Amino acid sequence: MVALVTGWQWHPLLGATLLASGLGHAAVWWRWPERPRPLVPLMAWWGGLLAVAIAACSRLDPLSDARLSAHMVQHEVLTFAAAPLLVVGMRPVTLALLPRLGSPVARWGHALTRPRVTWVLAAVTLWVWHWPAFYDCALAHPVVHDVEHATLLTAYALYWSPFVAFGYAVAALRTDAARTLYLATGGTQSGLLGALLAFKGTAVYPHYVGVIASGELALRDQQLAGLIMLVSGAAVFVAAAPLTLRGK
Amino acid sequence: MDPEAPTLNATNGSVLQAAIVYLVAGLGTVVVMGLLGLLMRLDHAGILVISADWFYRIMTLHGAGMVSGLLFAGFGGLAAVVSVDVRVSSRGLWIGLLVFLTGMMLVVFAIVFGAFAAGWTVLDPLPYQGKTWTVAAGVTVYIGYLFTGLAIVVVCATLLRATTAQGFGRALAWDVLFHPGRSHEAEVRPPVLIATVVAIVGLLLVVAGLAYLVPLLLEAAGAVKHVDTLLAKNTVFLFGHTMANLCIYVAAGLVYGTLPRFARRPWHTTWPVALAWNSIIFVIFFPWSHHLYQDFVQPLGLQILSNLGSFAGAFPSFVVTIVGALALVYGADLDWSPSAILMLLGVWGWVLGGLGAILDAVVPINQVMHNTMWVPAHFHTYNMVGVAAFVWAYLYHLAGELSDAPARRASRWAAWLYGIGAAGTSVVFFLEGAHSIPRRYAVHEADWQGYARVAIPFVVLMVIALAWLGAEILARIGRAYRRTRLAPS
Repeated sequence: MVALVTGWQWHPLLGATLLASGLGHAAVWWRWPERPRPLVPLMAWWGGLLAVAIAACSRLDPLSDARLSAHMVQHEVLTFAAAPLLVVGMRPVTLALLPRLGSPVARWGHALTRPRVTWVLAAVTLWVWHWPAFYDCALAHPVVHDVEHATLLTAYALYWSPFVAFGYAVAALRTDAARTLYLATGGTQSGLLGALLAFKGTAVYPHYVGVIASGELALRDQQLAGLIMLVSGAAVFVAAAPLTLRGK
Repeated sequence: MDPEAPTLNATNGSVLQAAIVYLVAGLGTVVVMGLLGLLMRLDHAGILVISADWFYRIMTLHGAGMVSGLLFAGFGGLAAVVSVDVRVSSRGLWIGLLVFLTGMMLVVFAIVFGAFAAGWTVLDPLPYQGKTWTVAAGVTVYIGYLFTGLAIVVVCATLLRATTAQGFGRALAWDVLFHPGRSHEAEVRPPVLIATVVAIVGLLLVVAGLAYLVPLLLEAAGAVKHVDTLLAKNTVFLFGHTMANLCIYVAAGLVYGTLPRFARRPWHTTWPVALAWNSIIFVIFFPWSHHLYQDFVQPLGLQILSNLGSFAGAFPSFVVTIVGALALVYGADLDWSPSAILMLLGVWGWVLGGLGAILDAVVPINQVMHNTMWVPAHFHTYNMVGVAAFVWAYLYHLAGELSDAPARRASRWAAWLYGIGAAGTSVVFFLEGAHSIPRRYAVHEADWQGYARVAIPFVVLMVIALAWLGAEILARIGRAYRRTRLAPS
């Protein structure tokens, strides 16, 4: 546990990007028209960046090459912590920038953040990347691995976006019935993938069988990974309910 | 309050939306689980061969799905009924639904993909010692139950907050109870009293659920070395049996709220009604341990308490609700709609299922009958002829009222068919129990198969009746739901 906190490896490009993004967001936030400035978007954005840093720079990253369960935690941090926090933190950026970008961008933004579109994008991204051939490819090629994480983060940022009323461009889920359905089906599709991994009788990712050098231990690791996905996903969707359901 | 006051008013449109989703989702679950029940009976009849592995998976799913489906459909209906009198938070109901669906998802996945087949009662240590399922599947079911318990907490807290907004004592009709001679013009209606009682019971029973689930999850995590199996069996039955028992009390709230409409007479919160429902808060927690009569290490005091408690539990139901319901309709110009027929059939289901339970709670009878089909007989009568009939009746009534579609005369046949099918199915179970045919057997010997063959036409009758009523409900429910959205809020 201590090693997880201490053994960080900073990638210069990612570190610089995160820092620039944080400072840029703070600058935009500083020009927020209302007083007092709301702290939630600022804290959420920095919290989201911290979550990305934990996933990409902490000991979780090298550990994820050796253990599927660690890799699953990494994905959960990106999709269920970083993505929603960044979406909540986006509000000052969308308020400041989107009106200047013109109607075609707004139209695209609106189309891309329709709940049906975001749901399908998140599901397809999640399932495609967990297909054994793609998963092993990502583990074998660092660039593909980075693309995997970036697309998961983006797809799930879009997934959470319909809950946040930006007041511009982003389509919102309007009723509690729709929000409940969206959360329940979103949780079910990711839970299904977790269940298939947790209850599969054989190890499905050759990379981990090779690294762990024991089919049985690799299978146990896979069961743990599936349980992490199934249960932590369920907990996140349940925790999201009181934050997103409004009683209208 | 006028017994014929409309359900939809200026403040409860959003609550009725949530209630409709609860009722449709809960009863949809009941239909699917009922079809799984038909599969098991076909297997018992020797008509269909299901492997033992799949039989026990189906049995586990059938039990868990039926109890939770009926309970949540009932909660939704009760929220709709009390929303006429008090302000219920629709937000709380939606959150509860999402948590409930999450719990059910975990349980279903563990059974379908994880081959979990230890029965819905998940008796320790079976879930962690399966030959066909892994510890991961057992853990997933336990966590699924934990979420279901959390959902009960959310829904019960939502109901309790609404009903006690004007005082705890008022919600429990203590003024009526402790000052019976006074005039009680501002009395709470019985559904509000019932919602308060079931919410308190729901919150308390979840404590028992936590006492069962948390140590076992800690055991799986390696934090606890060994959980006492007898204690675990007591806590799981205290949780599970009370939860199954709670279904009928929740559904009774629908009867108290709706039967006066059909009888065109109010049902008052009289002193016996107040006493009976207040006593249920206590007596519902005694009968669980009649499932442990055959555990010789169980303390004798608990066995005696269970025997007496099971008898005591019958009094509030029999003496007050059932006699009260019959008195309400006696001599009334009753509107014999399908809903009224189903509710009155349900009263008899409650009586007969309850009698079966009381017999099973008598120690010498229990020693002979408890591991036979007598036990499924009593809880099928109780739930199928009782709870399910009440909840179907309420959904049929609500869909008709909100969509302004009058009940069809021909649909009375569907209600009677349901009653005949459900009663026939239960009677065959009782006959099997009386002939000592064991329960929870995947394979029935040739001598036993005749009973299940007799039962199957009755199950098919129920399927036909529910398809008939379900088609009518589905034709109306869209309009009913839209109408709740148009209501001012």
